[in-house]
Amino acid sequence: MSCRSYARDRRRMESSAVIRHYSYWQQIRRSRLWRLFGTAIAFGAFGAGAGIFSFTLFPILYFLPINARKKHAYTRQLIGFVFRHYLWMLKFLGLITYEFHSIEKLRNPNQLFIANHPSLLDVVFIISLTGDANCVVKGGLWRNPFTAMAVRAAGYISNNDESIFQSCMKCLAEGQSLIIFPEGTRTRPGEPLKFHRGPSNIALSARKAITPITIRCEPATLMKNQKWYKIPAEPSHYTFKACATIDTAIYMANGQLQSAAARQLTRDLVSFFTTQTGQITSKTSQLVGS
Amino acid sequence: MYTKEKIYDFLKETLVSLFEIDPDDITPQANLYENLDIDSIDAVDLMVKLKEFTGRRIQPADFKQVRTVQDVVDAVYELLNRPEEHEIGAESVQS
Repeated sequence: MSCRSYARDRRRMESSAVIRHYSYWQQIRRSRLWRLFGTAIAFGAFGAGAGIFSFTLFPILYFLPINARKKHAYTRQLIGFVFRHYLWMLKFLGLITYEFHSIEKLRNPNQLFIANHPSLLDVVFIISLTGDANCVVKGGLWRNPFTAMAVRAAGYISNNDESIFQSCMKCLAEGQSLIIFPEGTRTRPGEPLKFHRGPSNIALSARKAITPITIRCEPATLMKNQKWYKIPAEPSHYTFKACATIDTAIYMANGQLQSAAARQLTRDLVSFFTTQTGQITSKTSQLVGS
Repeated sequence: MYTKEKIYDFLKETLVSLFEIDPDDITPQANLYENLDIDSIDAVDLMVKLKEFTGRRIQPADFKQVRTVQDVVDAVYELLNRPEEHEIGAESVQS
């Protein structure tokens, strides 16, 4: 496995015990008060941006009388472009820092990406890093006036879609890339990871390898059931890593039934992500979550 | 001749071995989708196993109304007690 284990990184961090010194201005920018203010700006900007685009570019793209595939591709590129700048703004405000590893893989066509989901910003990051990739996103966004036009124009797949399985298969058959968060919702901090079997079944049915994207967010922020004004002790650092692909064909070898293969694959994915992201062992997520 | 008990025992054994379900969770009232976490892919594999068990052709329509473990037992029982010629007759009408 090309990805290093989280536990090892953590031990190294603790043993080296680096004490950093920050200038006066840096201290202000890192202060909770400034970041509370910055977070309010960030949420406001997201709402304002979504509102403006939902009445201008997204409806234009949505009603544009061109081939649906092209329309989806343009919209996805636009959303990615906007998200890249949004993240740059968050970094500029001193709210977050981030690092990426091997993420050029995210631009490859016709891949199946599986990612864990520690924070609200995960999908913003991932979409900003991909080009024309499809994504299974929350069905509620189709009813939210700020996002309804965007998800429709981008042709994303809703997790409420009754034929979600067929939609995912069709998208992969057409040569698109697909991103799925197999937890179906944000990770519950301090609890063992739990993946749905659906994504495994999609990989097995479509005979696709899986490219795992591991996401770490330290200290944890914007978690499930966490209020936006719960500002972490220091700016959150995000790490995105596209790991080596996992071959799924072997799971179906020797006439194994898909139901059993999907269970084994799901189990293996959970243990892979648990090792890589340090869920459970992560002290930060447990402490901040309480 | 298969009794409902025998069908139930086979079904329970299959659910445990095929889907790794805790035997204690399997009751006649247990809902396959909600309580036992069985999805449509699993349902297809379960049909394959039931076909092997009964040696009969199984039409997806026979299992359309199935929700609980008991429903499966009843559907299989029904299927086994259906006269063979009637089944053939029904198939020829369909095709």
